[in-house]
Amino acid sequence: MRIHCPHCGERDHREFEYLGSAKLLERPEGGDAAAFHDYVFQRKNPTGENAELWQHVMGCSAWLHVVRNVTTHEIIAVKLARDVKEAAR
Amino acid sequence: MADFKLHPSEALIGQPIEIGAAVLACNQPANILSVAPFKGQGMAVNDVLKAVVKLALPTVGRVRTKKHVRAMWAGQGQWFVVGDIELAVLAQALDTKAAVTDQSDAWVVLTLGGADAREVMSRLCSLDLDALEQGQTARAEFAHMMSCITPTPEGFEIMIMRSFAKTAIHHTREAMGKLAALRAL
Amino acid sequence: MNRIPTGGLIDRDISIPFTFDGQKYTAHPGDTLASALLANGVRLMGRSFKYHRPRGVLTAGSEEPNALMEIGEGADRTPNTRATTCEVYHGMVAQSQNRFPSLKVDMLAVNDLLSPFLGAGFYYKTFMWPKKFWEAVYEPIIRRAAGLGRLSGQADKAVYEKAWAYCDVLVIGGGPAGLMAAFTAGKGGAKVILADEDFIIGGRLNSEKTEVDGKPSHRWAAEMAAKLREMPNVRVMIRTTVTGAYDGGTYGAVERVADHLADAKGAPRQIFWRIVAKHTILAAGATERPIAFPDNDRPGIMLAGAVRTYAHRYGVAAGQRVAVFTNNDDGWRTAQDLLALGVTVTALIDTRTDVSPDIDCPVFTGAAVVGTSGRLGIERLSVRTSDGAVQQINADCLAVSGGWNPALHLTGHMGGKPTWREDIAAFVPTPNSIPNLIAVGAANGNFSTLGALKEGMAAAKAALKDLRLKQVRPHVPVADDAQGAVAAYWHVPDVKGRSWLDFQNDVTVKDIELAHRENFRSVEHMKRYTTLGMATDQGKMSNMGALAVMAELTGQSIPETGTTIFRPPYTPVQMGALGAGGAGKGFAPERFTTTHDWAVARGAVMIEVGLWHRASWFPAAGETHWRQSCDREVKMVREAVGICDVSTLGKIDIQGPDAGVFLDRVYTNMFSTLKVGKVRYGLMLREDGMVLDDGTTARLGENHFVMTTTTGAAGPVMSHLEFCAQCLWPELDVKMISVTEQWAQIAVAGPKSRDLLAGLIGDVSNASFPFMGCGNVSIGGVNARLFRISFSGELAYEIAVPAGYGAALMVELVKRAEALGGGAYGMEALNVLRIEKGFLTHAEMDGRATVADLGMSGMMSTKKDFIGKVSSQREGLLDPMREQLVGIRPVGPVRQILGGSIMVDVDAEPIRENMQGHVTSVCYSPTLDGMIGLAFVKGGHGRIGQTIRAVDLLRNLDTLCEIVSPQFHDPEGEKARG
Ligand SMILES: [Zn+2]
Repeated sequence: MRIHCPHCGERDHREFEYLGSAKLLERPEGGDAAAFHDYVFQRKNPTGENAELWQHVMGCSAWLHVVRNVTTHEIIAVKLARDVKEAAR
Repeated sequence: MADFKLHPSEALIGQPIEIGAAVLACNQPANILSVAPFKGQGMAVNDVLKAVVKLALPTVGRVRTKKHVRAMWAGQGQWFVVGDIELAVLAQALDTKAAVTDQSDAWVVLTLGGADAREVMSRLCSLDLDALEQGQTARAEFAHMMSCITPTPEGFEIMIMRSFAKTAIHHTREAMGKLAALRAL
Repeated sequence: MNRIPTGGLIDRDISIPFTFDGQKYTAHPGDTLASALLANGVRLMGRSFKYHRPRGVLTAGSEEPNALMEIGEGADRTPNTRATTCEVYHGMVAQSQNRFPSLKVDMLAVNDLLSPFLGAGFYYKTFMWPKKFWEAVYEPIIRRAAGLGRLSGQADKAVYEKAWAYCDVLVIGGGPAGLMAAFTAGKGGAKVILADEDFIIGGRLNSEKTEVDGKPSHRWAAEMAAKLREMPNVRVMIRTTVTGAYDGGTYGAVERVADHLADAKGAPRQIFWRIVAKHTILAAGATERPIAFPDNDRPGIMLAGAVRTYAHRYGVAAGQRVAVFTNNDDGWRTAQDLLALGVTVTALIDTRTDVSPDIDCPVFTGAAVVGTSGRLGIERLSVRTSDGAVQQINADCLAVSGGWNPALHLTGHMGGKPTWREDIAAFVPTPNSIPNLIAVGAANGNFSTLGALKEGMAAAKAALKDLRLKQVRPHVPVADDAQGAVAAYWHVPDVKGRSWLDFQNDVTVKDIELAHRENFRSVEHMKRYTTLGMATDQGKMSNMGALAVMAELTGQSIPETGTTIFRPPYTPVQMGALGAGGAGKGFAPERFTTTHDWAVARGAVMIEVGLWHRASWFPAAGETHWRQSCDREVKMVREAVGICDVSTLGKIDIQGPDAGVFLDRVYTNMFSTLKVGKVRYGLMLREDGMVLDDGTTARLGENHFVMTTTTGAAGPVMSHLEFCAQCLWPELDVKMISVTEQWAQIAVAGPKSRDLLAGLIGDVSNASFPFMGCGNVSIGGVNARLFRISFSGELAYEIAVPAGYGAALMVELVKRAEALGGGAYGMEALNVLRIEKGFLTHAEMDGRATVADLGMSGMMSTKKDFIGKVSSQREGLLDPMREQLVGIRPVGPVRQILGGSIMVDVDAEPIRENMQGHVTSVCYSPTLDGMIGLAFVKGGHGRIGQTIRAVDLLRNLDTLCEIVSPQFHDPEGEKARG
């Protein structure tokens, strides 16, 4: 798999580490236990496109928001997670 | 207090290692300082750097050189200023504008030159080396280690974290030896 | 001898000696082992997998199922080498395999007589019971009887290499289509890699008697290859098999650099390439398929195309009297070519009725071969003519052509299914099965030479256009445009005896019929039931025939019947090549501290901690057991002063106006309130409420902190902090960078540490340098950082100097410590010292422990939110009967405790249901003169003073223990503050 890092260009997947669903960007504000339960443990299990978080650990260290087709492994879009988070605010 | 002086360790490579058509050497600069501008301080940082080292920070993935100082991109929001520039000078000048740390001892700077430098690199690094032009620099995997890879007119500069440097030298020597043997077939 | 007097791409002036099964033979440069053996009249080359039937060479390429050899001797012996691709080198030792005692007399051929009982599904049905017989009896027997070559049993001494390559256009296969594609793409300025598995570029152009541009086709291929090699933007890789197609235009390829040489002289034997291509042109050609008929596996029965290859490329007649059996025009070409070379053709048997070949030999149309005979090789065949009569024909070679299958295997590697083409009775690649890959020429079902040239050029032009490179119009060579008519014909019907489909795994037409009867009809079931296609050739020879048979039986069409999925690798890949770079030191990078060489020179016993090498203990004169050294080192720290390199701890420089706020959010306790020049211990949680790591963080300035992490968690913590900064709170103005490598950090611990430092840097008394203080100092002319922190519980300091000075500082500190009755200590003593204090490592922070479990609830700030706060308050995590960290010490006659023991109540049986917890860390404490341990015990914090048992069922130890506070030594912490 090749992931196009917005900083570094296209690199082999060995340079990246996978964390999980991009839902992890949406940390709940406040102390609602149910909201945290959902945030920490509840995940969809899609076929096809999925938004994920990867880190370019062997490269620029940026956290990336990667839209990937988990069936075909096609990488559809890559953005800096920071930008996605800031845009959501 | 005792009158004594601490002396730095010797470089990991003394005489350059030449195997086949590749040469591996250490080329440690005087200083490597990391500069990470705080929010909204990019322009201010550049102004300071232009005044102090006659250099502005390059764009992502690039290197700029002025006399004995070089500024290279080194990751998201981070640059290395390399060469004859003291930590105290730069840290003071950039004060509230950027985070500055000393990285001079954190990195070992290796150079790989010779006609077969690129071919040796292809054994160690998953980068598209032909796409890496002069003036560019890449944070990349080198034999499963973090590195900064910068093309030079002679070949490549490979910055490796100090604790990994022996491993990097070992693997590079191995790759040079195997390639030289292959060329001799 | 079967060598034709002239012709072939071999150098007849040079003879290369080699042995096969101990017999001496000679070959010429350009020969494969198979061509050399055939030239020497050797037809019998192997025994089949299951029935040990004698087999000869079937093909002239990498699809060979029969002629598998062991090459080399001793550790160099490589089994299952295909003789058809193996170049002979001087002194090569080749052996046949899967036979005992010899190829000609194989005792296990008795399996063949038992074949009525050994059909498909035999193993599944027979070896079901009794259960214990399976491992003890059946499996060893089967393993001995059925098998391929033998491993040497020794470590592989060969050198392997791995490498990366990038290109605009990867051309797979150097036949007419591939050559034209590579040439066109190269002319257009694209960066091209042309990979061909053969040792001569040209593909079938080297095997046929045909002309391209008015020249013999092999010469045209050689000239094209030479032109390509002259282009600086083209890399021609021979002996290179593209073995797999992967995501993102990545291909795996094996380059056999030195397999064809007697001595690699230090060069890698093979290189495993990872090739990343923007465009790929698959020009892998096609593989000929056999026709199934009774006893069609006898040595001497070969594919017709292979017979032509041996004749034209190697100058070898596969037999003196050759018969040809075909369902297509290629069979005629075989007969004609052989006749032209002066070889006798005893019959041309064509299954088609509506053809009339004009060939000067006996011709049978509408006929079929219904049997063969001969000992250890074909001598005669039975032909059923169009009128139903059976006729005997003499032949020592039978060339069979059942049509051609495009070599589309790579297009299946990402799950793509091929498309059926009725007109050529073959599957062809479905476009876009692999993104940016185009199949051309025979690989695309276009079997004419001219068609291949044109398709190769067109694909390269399309790639150039997409790459926005120069468009070129190379001259299209003049070449043969015959496609060759074919009529589907898979197996001869209405016959007696066994018609072989899978030569490698001994599967017959009858086995498919049996699978059908027993309802294993889907191709995937059929494959597993019969083992068809599961051998090293992956069904290249057999899949199509078996599919056709199953299709007939089910009344479905072949495309309805489907195909199994082709998976990498295209041809077998040696483990050594796959593991290239991963053996020995390549297994994982090694990390060395700046004091490593000094420690080794001091005789330290080293231990690997993650990637790091660290000193475990420093044996003193007369010490023969690690405990002697460890106990001494512990006492040294407790009574005098010890020196330990702690540089491996992670160090993260954190700066910015929001640094304090950031730390408040990632630590359970407050850091924004920490005063400049002070250090605080902190705990960090995961978002699920479990402890992630601990460490100290120092405030060097208003907006400047330095965090330490445990050695093992340095990477994960850095990654976690970057996640927090980038993904959760990008609005915070905070910058982080690892400074682990910048600073060598050395602990100076023990009551005399202050005296030692006084002589080195001056006053470090409580007044000037209080407990948990930090600041900049100068040591030996070097700017250093001093931290008053203690992982031993003693009065202690840690000094950080730029890493270049680490070794020098260590030498100086140890010298001074020794003068004070102390010295260096290693990881073992460090561990004892921290267990005596109840300090944590990841044995305790095991990913399941909460702050409360560790007895540190006081560190959970109520004044702020932090990572893991909400989740740590989940009901289950507040249960007072959770396993909680305590200390344990033996109180019964057994004085030993073993790490990993389970805890059970005094009177309870040591079974899972009664488990009360487990022991995380143990040591002999010289300070307390006895073993102590840390353990998780259910409700442990409320059970101090009670007794419990630590039981190790594996090592058979049962220790009665008292539950105590984990702070065994100086629980008030007065020594560290002293
Ligand atoms: Zn990157």
